[in-house]
Amino acid sequence: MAFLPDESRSLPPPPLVNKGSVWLGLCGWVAALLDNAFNRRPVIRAGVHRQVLFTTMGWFVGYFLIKRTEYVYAKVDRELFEYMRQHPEDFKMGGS
Amino acid sequence: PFSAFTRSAFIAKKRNYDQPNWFGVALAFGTSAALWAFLFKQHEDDVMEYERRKAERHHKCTGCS
Repeated sequence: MAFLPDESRSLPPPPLVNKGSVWLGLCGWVAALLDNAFNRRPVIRAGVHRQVLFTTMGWFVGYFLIKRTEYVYAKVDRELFEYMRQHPEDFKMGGS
Repeated sequence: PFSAFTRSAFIAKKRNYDQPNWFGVALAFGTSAALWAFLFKQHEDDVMEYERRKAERHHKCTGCS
């Protein structure tokens, strides 16, 4: 299956600041800081270009992963609601 | 040296940080800028496409009034 099928474009896109981007951006930044630490460089003052690049890459990947996540959730929801629509007797609410 | 992925402590050299690696810096900042530009453009396109499809769906269901 494609990473992002065409019908995923019918969903509202995630905001630029989203959970995946923030988390993976943070992971990227920490990876750059770790690289500094392992190479015996000043942890936050060194390699700012590297910190920026790693954070950016994480943010970038996070956006597309969240887009795919929301698509998969929407697809499953659609299938669930369709099943519920086709089997109303299994989903009767309340008494009797 | 044998492998490109291992660095023996016997032949390792201490890195010299006196001069900045300007090529690396330019490459890193350049790539970051390109990635951000692409991301912003992608988001713009996504929003436009979503709005377009929403309007199309609304138009199809309600017809022209």
